[in-house]
Amino acid sequence: MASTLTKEMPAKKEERFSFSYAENLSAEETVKQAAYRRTHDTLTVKRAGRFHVGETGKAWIALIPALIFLIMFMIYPIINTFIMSFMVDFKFMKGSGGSFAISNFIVAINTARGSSRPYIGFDNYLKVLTDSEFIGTWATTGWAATWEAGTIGAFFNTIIIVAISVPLTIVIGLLISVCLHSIKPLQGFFQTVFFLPYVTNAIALGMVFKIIFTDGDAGLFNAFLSLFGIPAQAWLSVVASKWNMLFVITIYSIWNGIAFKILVFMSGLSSIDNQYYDAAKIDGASRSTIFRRITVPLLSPQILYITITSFIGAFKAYAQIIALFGAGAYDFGGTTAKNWETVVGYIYVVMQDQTKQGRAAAASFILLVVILLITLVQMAVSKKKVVY
Amino acid sequence: MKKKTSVKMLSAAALIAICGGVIASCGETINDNFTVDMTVDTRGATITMWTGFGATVTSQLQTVLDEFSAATGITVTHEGKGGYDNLQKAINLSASTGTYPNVAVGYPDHFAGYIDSNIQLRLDGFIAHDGEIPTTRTGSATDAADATSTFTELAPIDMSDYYSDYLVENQTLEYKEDGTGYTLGLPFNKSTEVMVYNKTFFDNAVVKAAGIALPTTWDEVKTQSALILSFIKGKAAYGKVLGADGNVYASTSALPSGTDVLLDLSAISEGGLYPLSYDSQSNFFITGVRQWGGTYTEVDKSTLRGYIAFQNQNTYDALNAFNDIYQANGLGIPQTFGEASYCSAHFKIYQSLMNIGSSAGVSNCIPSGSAFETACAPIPYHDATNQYVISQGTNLCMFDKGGDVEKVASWKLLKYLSQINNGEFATLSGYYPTCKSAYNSSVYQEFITSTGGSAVDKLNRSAAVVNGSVYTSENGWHKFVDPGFNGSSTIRTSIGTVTAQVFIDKTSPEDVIAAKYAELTDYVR
Amino acid sequence: MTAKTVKQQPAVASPVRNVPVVKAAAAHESDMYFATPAQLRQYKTKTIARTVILYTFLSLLGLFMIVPFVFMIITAFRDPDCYDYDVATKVFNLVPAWWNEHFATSNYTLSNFITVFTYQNPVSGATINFGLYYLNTIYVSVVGTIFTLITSILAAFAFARCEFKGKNLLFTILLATMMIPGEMMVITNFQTVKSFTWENTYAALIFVHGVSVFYIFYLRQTFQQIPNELFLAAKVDGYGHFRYLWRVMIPIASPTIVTIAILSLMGSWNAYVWPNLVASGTFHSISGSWNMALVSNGLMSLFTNSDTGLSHDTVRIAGSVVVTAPLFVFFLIFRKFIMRGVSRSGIKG
Repeated sequence: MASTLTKEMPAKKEERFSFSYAENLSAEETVKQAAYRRTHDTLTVKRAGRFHVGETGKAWIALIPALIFLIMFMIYPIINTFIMSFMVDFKFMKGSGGSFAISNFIVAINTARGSSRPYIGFDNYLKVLTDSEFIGTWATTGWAATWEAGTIGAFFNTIIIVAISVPLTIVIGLLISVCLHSIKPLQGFFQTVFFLPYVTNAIALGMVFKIIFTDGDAGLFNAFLSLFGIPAQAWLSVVASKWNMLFVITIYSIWNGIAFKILVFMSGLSSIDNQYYDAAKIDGASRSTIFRRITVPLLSPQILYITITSFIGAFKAYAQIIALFGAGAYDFGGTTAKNWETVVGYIYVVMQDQTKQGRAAAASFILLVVILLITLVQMAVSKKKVVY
Repeated sequence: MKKKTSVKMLSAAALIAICGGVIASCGETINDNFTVDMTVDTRGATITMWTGFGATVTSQLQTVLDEFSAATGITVTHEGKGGYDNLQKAINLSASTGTYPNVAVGYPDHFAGYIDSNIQLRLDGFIAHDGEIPTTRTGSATDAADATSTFTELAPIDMSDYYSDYLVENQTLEYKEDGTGYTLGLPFNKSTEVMVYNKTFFDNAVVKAAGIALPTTWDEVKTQSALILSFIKGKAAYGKVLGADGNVYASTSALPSGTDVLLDLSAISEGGLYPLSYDSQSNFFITGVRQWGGTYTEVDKSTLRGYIAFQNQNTYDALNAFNDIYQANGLGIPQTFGEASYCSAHFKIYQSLMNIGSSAGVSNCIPSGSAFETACAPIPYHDATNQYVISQGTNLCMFDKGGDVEKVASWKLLKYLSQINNGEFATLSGYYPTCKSAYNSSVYQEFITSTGGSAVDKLNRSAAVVNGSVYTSENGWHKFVDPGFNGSSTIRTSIGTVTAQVFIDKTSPEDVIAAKYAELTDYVR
Repeated sequence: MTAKTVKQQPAVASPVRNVPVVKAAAAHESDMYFATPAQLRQYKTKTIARTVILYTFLSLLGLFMIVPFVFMIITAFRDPDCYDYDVATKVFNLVPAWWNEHFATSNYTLSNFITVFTYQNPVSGATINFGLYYLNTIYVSVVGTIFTLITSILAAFAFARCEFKGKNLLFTILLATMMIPGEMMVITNFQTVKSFTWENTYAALIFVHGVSVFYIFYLRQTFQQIPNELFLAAKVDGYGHFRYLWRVMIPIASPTIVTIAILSLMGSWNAYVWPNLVASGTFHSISGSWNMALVSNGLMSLFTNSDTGLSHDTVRIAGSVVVTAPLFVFFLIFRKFIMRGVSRSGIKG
């Protein structure tokens, strides 16, 4: 039996595909297929309420490799960190055997020397939510002074960065994709040019941007601005204003993020049927109408995907800030080195202190909740606007 | 069904974790009963040591470690972690899995964390029972069975030999019931701050004739800076080259033969030269507060929690005094030059004439091509009752790892590096000897009293002389260290931005300190 | 007007090869006609104007994209001391007069690259050896990608083709994990890795972040587009699930799989945070021990190293170029595969 199968297989290789269309089947094949389908098609069988026994087992076999590693290195750390966030003054202790937050806690209670023993409570969350580094110095110095001094806290820094860079990047990416899509010669060349940023290393790129945006007449960007008569500005140094720094951060984010968006948009654009465009042209629609009424709605699944993933990625901004201000992993610009500290930056800074691990865990969890809320809002909006 | 299974699995895992934790935690207390057998033969043992030293110091340390192996038969595997921050992180993250080394170096606040994690050993027992180590054994260092030779163990430790300042920071980390402190570490590589100055400039006859001399107090810094700046401006030397004869030339090639360059200001315009520059802003703040009679931090002995204590008039006076000098262009900090941490690169190209930095890093101030001579002087002080200079550097500690053999071997390494052969390490690395015997050792005395050698050697020697002969209690100087506790490095990093905020942002000292108190709420009483 | 033959449109999102999808006749530009020559001229001008604007816009933005690269390359070739002098004196010069006055050697040199590959600290003998870092990174990328492909294909297959209770719940949970910031997991993962004694081994780099929910999601979309009839037909032929996967699904989805492989390779090239934490030391094996730093680590250590030979900006930029160039070349070679793979699978709902 087996030998017959192997002998037959090469010949069948081409024929396989021909089975996919009903019009190519002979009468008895159709009957055979229909009969088989009734008893073996899992989808129809499912509706009848019975399962093919081996199928669940096979699914789990296929899933096990991925699941083992996902549970060990993704699900378990999340749960562990969540538990850690409720342990105030948590520290890793000798003899606890590893990363379990619970066992470290128990060992700490028994053997802590000197300063405080850990306890369970909400203090970590409270400390984060009242930390002026996280939510800004509004309470102590008032609205106007805080805004002027720029000490608006990591949380609001992140929100500003997200609110400004994400929409800009998406809109510019969309424009570029549409333009790219409508030209034929040099399309490949331009595609390469716009995808270039994807291959760059974030650290290397930060170095280059630092040089381009040097202060004084030496900087390339200042030289460019002088063509328009704008005086030389301080961009990334200690004396730079908060908004100049934001400008550079935005340019960096756009530069870095646009490649993948163009890729996705272009693939979406190429799968829109030309007949829609041609029908619109026949009806005499202007180009902007075509863009607004046809391109954008038909592209909306891709736009939704890009929007959701861009927001998630932008909330986790950290590497670009330290790459730009580059005195090390905890320098976020300005005289205080915390001018544009983001939430993830705050988490890393807090993680430095051995006794504040619980607080870092709490801050991570707060970030997760915020991202989740924004994503849910976006998905709710998408139900009304996205066309499939 | 899936839900129930996953809940079951989760609770089973939690149960296992709890049981494991309970079992592991039984018998894990470090008690005061010292049970290590000091008489074990440690020849042939292998221990690990982690440091944060860079490549240069590591090779110097390796020389000393090789001598240790030859003298005791103990092999030491050294690993550099690339910086003290990485070292601290590596050890903290290895506490729960037992993968930390036997010996490490660290600052007091690192030690505070290791004590909390229960991995650091108290040294009092080792110090008290040090005499139990037999003086001689049969066999050689490398071959215990060799009956022809005898092997001499290292000499016992002498705690009175250390300079007392250095011991204090190791004895203020954990306290007994009667209030005295346990000894948690031994001093290792000590440094302090010195002022490297442009000797060619200050020795020049024309300069001296203008009344310019090396300042010794902060008031003198203010007057001398003004003098220097007006001297240069009077000569119209910006953008040109000032020769040793006092005349200004268009470029170095226009100098007459036999006349050397005094100041090459061809790339420097007015406002681009700052007579004094200061590397570490944290040290600037802390030293300034001390020199104006104020306090910085304090520790509660019972809870071992540390608190900040610098919101007072002394701090404001110090900051205002420094700010006056800064606004008159007399003082530069790294941020002024667009740097993150050091001004030495700018000292080398005549953008500053005096640079205050760590004594271990003076060689960074030597200009390329020996453009000018350099020497070291003590840092400026405020008044004679408060001549404070910061004492920096790491200490050695031991961890609870391995059996008695490893622990005794680690103890011997601590003795050797900290006291017995500390003089040699100091000679090689430019750090200061930790004890009088190391200072008086032939190796170190030879180093100090010799003349000649490269520019680096000369400058290191000059720095050593400042430390040994100038910063002494006879001359009225005090070397201070601040107590280490969990979070002291966070505080130190945070106050490192105070000077920049006062000088560059021009915020008033009161507001800046108030903002710091708001930021460091964990450390306010 | 004579009827024109229908132009064959390229297959649109058709996963099955060799089956032309017949489209309705599309209105083509040559089918348009105008009442007066003036209208034709107007149309032609508009088209030309539009094309010019398009190309200008693209060129300007393209220039904006390229400038950092060009800058990177120019700076990498500049003499270190000359460049440092320019920066310290805040003067931007491609050929400064000061330099020409003081030094006879050229302003542009290869010395930065030589330093990057062959530097050795004269005192301690420590080296920065980018060749070794390349090998490490290539090894980790390739093995990691193979691991990712295996797990992603199997998992996507399970989600797309099989029915089992809790499938949707599990998939939603996995999707949710995409939103978790990685920082939440770093400390625990590090401790776990230490307790497995995987620190400073290649296993830590390959297995911990090897499984990617993003690629599972991607591949599942593609697998779901394969018509059910194929599966039934294969069943008729006596294929089990796994044979169907190996013989039918993988070949059909190969463009997507190739894309995933390429993207995964590129991603692991630039990885920094985790390799720096876990595997920046010496790797000990039976045949010897060597430094297992990856390319990003090497670059970062180049940036933070303060040895006099290395602390020039030009050397650091040369290091950046050395790190970016292979990826760029790789991208140029495989560009078509990436584009094709993404457009085939499409991310349609």
